[in-house]
Amino acid sequence: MLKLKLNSRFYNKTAIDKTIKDYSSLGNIKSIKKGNYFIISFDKIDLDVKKIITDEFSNYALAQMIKNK
Amino acid sequence: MEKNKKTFELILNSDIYSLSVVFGAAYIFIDKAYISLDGDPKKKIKVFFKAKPETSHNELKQIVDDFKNELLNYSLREQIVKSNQKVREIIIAQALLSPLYNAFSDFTEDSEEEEDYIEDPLGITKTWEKHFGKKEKLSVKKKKNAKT
Repeated sequence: MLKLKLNSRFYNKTAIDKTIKDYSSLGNIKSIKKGNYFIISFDKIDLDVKKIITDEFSNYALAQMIKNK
Repeated sequence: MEKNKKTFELILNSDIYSLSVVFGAAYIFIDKAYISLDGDPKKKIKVFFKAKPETSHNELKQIVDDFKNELLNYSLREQIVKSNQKVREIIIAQALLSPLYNAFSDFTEDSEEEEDYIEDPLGITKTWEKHFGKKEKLSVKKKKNAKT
């Protein structure tokens, strides 16, 4: 299982949820908040995208933050 | 700061670069590198750069340098936006109010047209003779009649 930590002072829940929704076709993605971080876990991810999914996810979440501003 | 061949970490002072400036600059580069943010937006903002599979080490270094330039560019833009804010507000207000002003001026013009000066309802353009000439003649006739 892959994990990604995103700082909640830079990324809000709306952006994370939208990213999870848009990436849901690639596997099981869930997020929980611990302190100042969103812990995003990736399970049963397509092998084709497994190497890049966390990085792509963080880029996409960042883009959502900017679009929502 | 170079962490390894495929990643860079940039630490920015948030007193110099606001969060909106960092977001704006980062958005330009998300198609060229993987970018994530960490730290404290009120103190120090950490920007992590990771090379995409097709990006070389030198290209990533160039992206980080371009990002720094973009930060300055966005800071300047933000300053200009702040300094021109009142002027922009006035222009927008003027643009929004101009249809109302035009409607009002049309209304006042219409009301003026109702009292057309050509019609001259008060008889201002008439001469004194036209106004009082006949009466004078009448009064002269009355005097003549009184004598006879």
